[in-house]
Amino acid sequence: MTRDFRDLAEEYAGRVYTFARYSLRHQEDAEDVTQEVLVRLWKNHDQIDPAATSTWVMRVARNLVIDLARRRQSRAAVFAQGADVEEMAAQVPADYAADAAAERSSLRARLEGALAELNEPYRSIVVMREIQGLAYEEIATAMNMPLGTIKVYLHRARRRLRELVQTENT
Amino acid sequence: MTTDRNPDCAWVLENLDAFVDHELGEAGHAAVTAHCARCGSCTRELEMAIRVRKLLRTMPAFEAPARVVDAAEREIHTGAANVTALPARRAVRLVRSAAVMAAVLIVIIAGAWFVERQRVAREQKATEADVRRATAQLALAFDYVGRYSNGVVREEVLEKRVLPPIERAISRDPVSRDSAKPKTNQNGM
Repeated sequence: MTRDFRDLAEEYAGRVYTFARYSLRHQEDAEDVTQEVLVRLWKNHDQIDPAATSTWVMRVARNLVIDLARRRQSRAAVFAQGADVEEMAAQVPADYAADAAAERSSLRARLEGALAELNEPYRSIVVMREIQGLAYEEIATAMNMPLGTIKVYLHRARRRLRELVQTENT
Repeated sequence: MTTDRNPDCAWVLENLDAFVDHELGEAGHAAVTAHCARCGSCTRELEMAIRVRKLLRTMPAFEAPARVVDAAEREIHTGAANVTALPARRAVRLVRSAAVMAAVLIVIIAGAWFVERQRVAREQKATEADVRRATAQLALAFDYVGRYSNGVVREEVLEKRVLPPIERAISRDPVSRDSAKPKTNQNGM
């Protein structure tokens, strides 16, 4: 059991944690969500189609993120808070941090700020698609939205990101 | 998508992401390229779209801390019936924090109480003047007893019944003890 659980955890923990970190921008909350997803994954893994495990995991993660956000003072306030960029930077893997330290540009900082300003579901879609590299179909399943809607939302999110980056630039 | 017309800026801007994603098709791709060749504004938008996309795709993925996987495993090992739901887990952490804060508060209050008690005890110690006054009153009392008892109260009675409790009371306080003895002797008691 331990080996199997460890295999599942190794495959999905990072993905869930990354999504939760960018969505909630709070380390402890992201850890809670990850732990809960792993527990639920283990409890249900016999019933989940192996080919659909990834989307199942992301859907549960997304639902938990929303639940957690709702439990905070208000969802809007949570998703509108400033990004904890410094805290996030401290968690970045060392090799990436070394590169980032050398190549970090003002555009990148502005982009992080812009991402933090995105409302839901735009931010989740951007994180899944652009940062985590999920396929449109996977995102649609995870978000429980039609494929076309995901594409439209992603398009809007990208355009909004560009606007925000350029606004901060002026 | 229609590409049989000369694309204007609005059409290009609407399709920038599709262009960057290579989802526009050959004709659409050529149309955007041709438009950007003569439109500085759209070219800047296109450059920004490419840079934002590139930066987003190089943003870091985080590795879940090992403690999270360990905690999940522990939770699973305790059995499905004991699995702690997300809100409850947070509640447990809150209760734990509250307990620690309460303990700290108790220590602080106990410390303050102890210090205050010490201060009050110090203030309650008799001063030298108090002891002198009490000793004088004691001498007066013994003098009174001696004068009106006509020898009924004998010296050994005084020594056995009267003096011991007084001495015991005085000896509890070092200041009283040091100051009282000479005074008592002075009055011949």
